Amino acid sequence: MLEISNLHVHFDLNGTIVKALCGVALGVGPKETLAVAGESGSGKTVTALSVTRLLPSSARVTSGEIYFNGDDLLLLGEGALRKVRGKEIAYIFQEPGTFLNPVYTVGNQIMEPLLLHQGLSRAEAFAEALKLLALVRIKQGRRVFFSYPHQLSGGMNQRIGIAMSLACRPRLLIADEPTTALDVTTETEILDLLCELKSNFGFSLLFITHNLSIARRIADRICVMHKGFVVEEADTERIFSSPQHFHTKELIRAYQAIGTL
Amino acid sequence: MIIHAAHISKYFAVEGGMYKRRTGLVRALEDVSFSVRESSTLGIVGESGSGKTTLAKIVARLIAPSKGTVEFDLARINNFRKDVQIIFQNPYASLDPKMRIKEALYEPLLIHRLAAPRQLRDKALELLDIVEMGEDALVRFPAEFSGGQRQRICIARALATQPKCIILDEPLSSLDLTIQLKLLELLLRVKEKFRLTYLFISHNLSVIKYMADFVIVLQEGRIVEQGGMHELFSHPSHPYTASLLRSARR
Repeated sequence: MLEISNLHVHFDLNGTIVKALCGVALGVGPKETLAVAGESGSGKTVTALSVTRLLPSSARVTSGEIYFNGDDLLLLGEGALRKVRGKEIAYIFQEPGTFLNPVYTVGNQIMEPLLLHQGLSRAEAFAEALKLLALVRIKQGRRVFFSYPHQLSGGMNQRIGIAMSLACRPRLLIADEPTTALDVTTETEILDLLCELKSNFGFSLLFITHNLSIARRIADRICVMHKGFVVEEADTERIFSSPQHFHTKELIRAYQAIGTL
Repeated sequence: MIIHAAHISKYFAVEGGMYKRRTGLVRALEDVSFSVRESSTLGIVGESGSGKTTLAKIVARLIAPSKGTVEFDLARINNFRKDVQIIFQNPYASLDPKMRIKEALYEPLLIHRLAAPRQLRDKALELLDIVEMGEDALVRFPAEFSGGQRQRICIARALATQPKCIILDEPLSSLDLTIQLKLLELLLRVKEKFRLTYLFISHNLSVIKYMADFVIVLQEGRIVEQGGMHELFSHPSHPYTASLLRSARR
């Protein structure tokens, strides 16, 4: 369903060229969960952002293709791409506090994609937003609807982020370290919620993490990145039973020492 | 026992309305007692909001408790600010962005008169060597380093005063797992080498298991369980500890 091939991305930092991605290739099938694992700086987030061309202006895609349902997203016009973003491909980000707009109520922000993409009236969008809040297991949806992000906890804000991302029933959800900023118990709740929603809605999931224990819990396949390269890709159990690459082994060593009990 | 904390409570006033009247009281810590044996690591675990950082700040004498006392073994800790150091969670906030690394390392050496001005550079290099960083770091600024490297610099700076005890408040929580493991290994080596006592705070039970000899479990400001690391992990007696173990084991 999503097929990235030979993706090269450079950053131009005041004349210095930094190669962020060097020929990244990966694919996500329908209803599949692919975890992209790697240290910080390995290019996980850049890969995620380049899918819908959300990279900052200093970045340049020098070559490669990103096929989604038959279209190369890199060649799509800005207008056509806008119909894909949020509607077909949605994101959840790491810091729930920073992707939400602090001056709008969370309800307002959940309604935005519904008004924009689905063409619902405000009354319909309001009703749908309350449904979405219930879907992500938020009690007292009405009270939360009229709250501002700073009045809610990190876990709660991440639930809002999930509700927003699911508003248009996307076919691909890209989750960029969605639980890194959360407590372990909250992390478990959010991961369970994601798995449950995934089986209910049948979307594909591209899950980015530096923590192999999380990847092991949710992914069908794992792709390990290091310094802009995909160094290894295999079924989850295979990665753990017979890791091939040095950096995969390093990730597993960390996972065994402090990523699990 | 190098540290002995008895019946510590800490309340924060909630102010609101006109004239900042006191409208409520947050009980951050309630009747917390514990001791730390010399050259051991006490792990303090709990979720955010459980009072871990408040406890760290009280032990480090950065804030005063509302009730209770923290006593130190005066035979070993006689110059508090030299003998007890603290490493904070966020290495981006705990290094002055306008100080070169050498200045950050020289400052504690000068304040505590641990080196003459012409020895400073050698001392600083020695400290950087312990945390496996090279000479080139000296003239650079914190912004030029990654999170893991900055935390190494913070460890070097803490070691500058030849402390007996280091309080580590979630020192690795903002870092990748692989970098966390490398730093934990470093912290264990340093502990052996200098016979340090650690007060290690984390919300991650696996990290606590890797580091600690004794553990305190905090929930909403109260100790719900304390004891040796192995007993606690094999036979948790409090349901909250059991639930923490369950989430970590998933």
